[in-house]
Amino acid sequence: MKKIVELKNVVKTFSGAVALDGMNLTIYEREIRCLIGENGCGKSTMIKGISGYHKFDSGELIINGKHYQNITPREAMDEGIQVIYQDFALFPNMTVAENIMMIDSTTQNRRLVNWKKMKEEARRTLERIKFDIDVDKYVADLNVAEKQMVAISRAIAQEAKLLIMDEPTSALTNAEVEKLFDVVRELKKNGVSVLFVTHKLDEVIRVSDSITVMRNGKNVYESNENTLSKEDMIYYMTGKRLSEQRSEDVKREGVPVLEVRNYNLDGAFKNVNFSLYKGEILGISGLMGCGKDRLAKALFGIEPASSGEVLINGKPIGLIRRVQDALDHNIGYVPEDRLTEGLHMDHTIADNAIARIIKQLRGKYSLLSKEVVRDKQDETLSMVRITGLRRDNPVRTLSGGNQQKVVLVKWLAANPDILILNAPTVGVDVGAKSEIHDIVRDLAKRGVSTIVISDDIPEVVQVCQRVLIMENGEIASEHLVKDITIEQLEAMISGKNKMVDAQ
Amino acid sequence: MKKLLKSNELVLVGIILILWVAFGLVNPNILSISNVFSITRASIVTATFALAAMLVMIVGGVDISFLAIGSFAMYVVVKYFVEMQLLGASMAVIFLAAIAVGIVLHLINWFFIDRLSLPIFIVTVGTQSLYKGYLLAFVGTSYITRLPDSLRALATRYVASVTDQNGITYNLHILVLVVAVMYVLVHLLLTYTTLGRHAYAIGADATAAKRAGINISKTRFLIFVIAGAIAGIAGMFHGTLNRTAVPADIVGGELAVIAAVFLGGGASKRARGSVLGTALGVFLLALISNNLILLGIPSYWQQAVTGTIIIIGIVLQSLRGATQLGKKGASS
Ligand SMILES: Nc1ncnc2c1ncn2[C@@H]1O[C@H](COP(=O)(O)OP(=O)(O)O)[C@@H](O)[C@H]1O
Ligand SMILES: [Mg+2]
Repeated sequence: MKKIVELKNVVKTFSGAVALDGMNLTIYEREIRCLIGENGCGKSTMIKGISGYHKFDSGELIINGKHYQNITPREAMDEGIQVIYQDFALFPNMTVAENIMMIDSTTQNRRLVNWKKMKEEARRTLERIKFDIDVDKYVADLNVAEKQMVAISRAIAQEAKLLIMDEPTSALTNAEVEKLFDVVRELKKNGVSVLFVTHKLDEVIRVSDSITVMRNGKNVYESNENTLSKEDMIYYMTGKRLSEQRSEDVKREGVPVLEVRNYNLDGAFKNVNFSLYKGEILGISGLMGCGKDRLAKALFGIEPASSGEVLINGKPIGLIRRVQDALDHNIGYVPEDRLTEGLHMDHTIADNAIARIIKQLRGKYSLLSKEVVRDKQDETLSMVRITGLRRDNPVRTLSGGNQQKVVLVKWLAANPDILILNAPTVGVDVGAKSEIHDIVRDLAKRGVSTIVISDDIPEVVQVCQRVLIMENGEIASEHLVKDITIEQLEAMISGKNKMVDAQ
Repeated sequence: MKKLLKSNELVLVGIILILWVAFGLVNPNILSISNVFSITRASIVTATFALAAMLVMIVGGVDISFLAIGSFAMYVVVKYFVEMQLLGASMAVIFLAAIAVGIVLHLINWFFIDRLSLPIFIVTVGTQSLYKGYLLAFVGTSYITRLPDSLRALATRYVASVTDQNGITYNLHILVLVVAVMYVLVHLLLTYTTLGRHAYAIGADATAAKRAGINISKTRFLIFVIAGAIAGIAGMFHGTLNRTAVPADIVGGELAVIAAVFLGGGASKRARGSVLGTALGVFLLALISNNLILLGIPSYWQQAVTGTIIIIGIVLQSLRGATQLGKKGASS
């Protein structure tokens, strides 16, 4: 097999911070190679080095047998390398046709624009990936999937030999991902190699011919087959065996920190009773619509229950009727939809971290002291490891997993006694997920009592010590996690074992 | 052409027609050809400056210095020819001189913007005062009423005239046609040359443009050369039609010109800066102020009405823009 691109021991640092640390990679002719790795491990940096956008500090870059010291974007394009960046880099104020042919106009050094010919060529290119769209449409009016198809067309209009796609599926629906896979396979048939960058493991299994896994700026696994199991992918990406991890069980003694008695809300849940002990991580799981989500909201007073009673450290406080009630009893809540409920996306990470406690930081005359704020921000941020953390960058610049960590941090700043986490790792990549789990376990060790609402069974098993399963608004069963396997729990929740019982 | 007429331009044509009919109902004179002549004549200078402002807007920024550049070029050149006793100089020579000055001044802007990576708006806010200050401090403050002969002749060169029932004659000024030709040329430049398309690409997303292999410095350089030349020409038009060279008299009126460009689509995400749109924007604003004068409406009301129309126009554009943004936000 002919090698198209070969990277040997490349290093790239950004003002001291190492982004690539001896990375090796080989891409062969006519293959779909998946490159996986946690957020921040250097995937995009490596791509930008191949495409001439960044310069590697050291190491070798060999393209089509030719050694390059300082490749320029133009040379990379001339070698047939095309990159589709995470943001597509299209021009919204131009039509589909013009976007597709834009690079052509620069590489051919044309002076004049022949609109008719441009449209024809654009149409021909679109046909090659069997994508049907009006070439006169403005890109501003397209949806994400359409924009991506335009970006792909633009790349192959250049007779690409290697198409690099940086996390192409992060904004697509399932159906659109299917379509993309078809296109990728079609490209391969036409002799194009594809480097497919992702952190979604199912996609890797489905689309790849070969796999490279990156961790901390270097390749830790490289194979010309796609025989790697999901567990092994996670292992190589994170360096940890996730399934090994479980929380140590705690003693449930003395007065529970939180006791919920006969909690009811019509149409949501009924007759809910449970206790939560100090330092305990309690999972609440069940199918969608089983009431766990509404129970979480009721416990935080967002959508209060209609009857029942709550005891905090043995003291009855009645119902939690408002969010303020929950806050008064030092209960924290991390919402499911962090984007709309949790974060101020354009503000800095540091400001977000203390957003919830800013009032407590006020000094004389209700004024804020810069030093107090800064100290508290540093203290708060030090509780959690966030890769690529720059305290003064806007939250928007973080990946989904790291944003979720900021949400957590924000709640931790207030030192809650009880923490309710609603679907804490939805949409978060595996690495960040296991870090969030670490944080939760760590908090429990420090005495925080946590409720994790989740329908991710492996997650429940990995972080919780005890789990409640809800069904039709009621708590159907309770289990100690140390006595149960993921499979048993999954079967119980999906109701399979009931059928077994009935037989 | 079909593509051009979509969306914003069509809205502008609609607004112009409605206003025209509305004004005409109040004062039938307004519908006359003579009124069209006077509106177009009143727009010559604004229209030319608008072209210069639009070009810069296309590459991604609001220029505040074009009137200062035009004033500077016009005054310095007229003063030179008058003081050197070159009153018989040919029109071409005088205009070329003004063009050269305009280009140099705009390239100073380009230097700060490109070489020092400063925002266009900030740089031109600075150079606007700078150029005006230098003009007044070092070149002169006196009015020059005796212009070179070729300019005096140009001031009264008409291509058509109409006499209304009251015996008053209205003339179509030759510069109206010149401006029209300039608009067509710039339109061709922007639509059919790679330079023009690259200018739009840079204005939309400079990073993406760089990744597509577009030479940003070079493209902006050429656009600033053209915009500087047009600003110089516009300054000369202003002096010529005024029949007097007054230093920096128009500086301060930038926003009215920029408003016309905005109205013409300069503020919209999709067609940031369109030639036809800019022409319509200029015409619309001139239509309003001219006719309010005819109707005897006080000038502060005129400003209020003009302001209202600008806001409506820009809100209409951004409403379309906002739906796109909304889509983008939902999917990311
Ligand atoms: N332009 C840059 N300046 C400074 N640091 C950067 C820059 N680009 C990336 N990094 C850092 O390099 C590391 C790798 O980032 P990146 O290649 O984007 O990771 P990935 O694409 O795998 O998520 C991160 O720690 C990131 O913060
Ligand atoms: Mg990346």
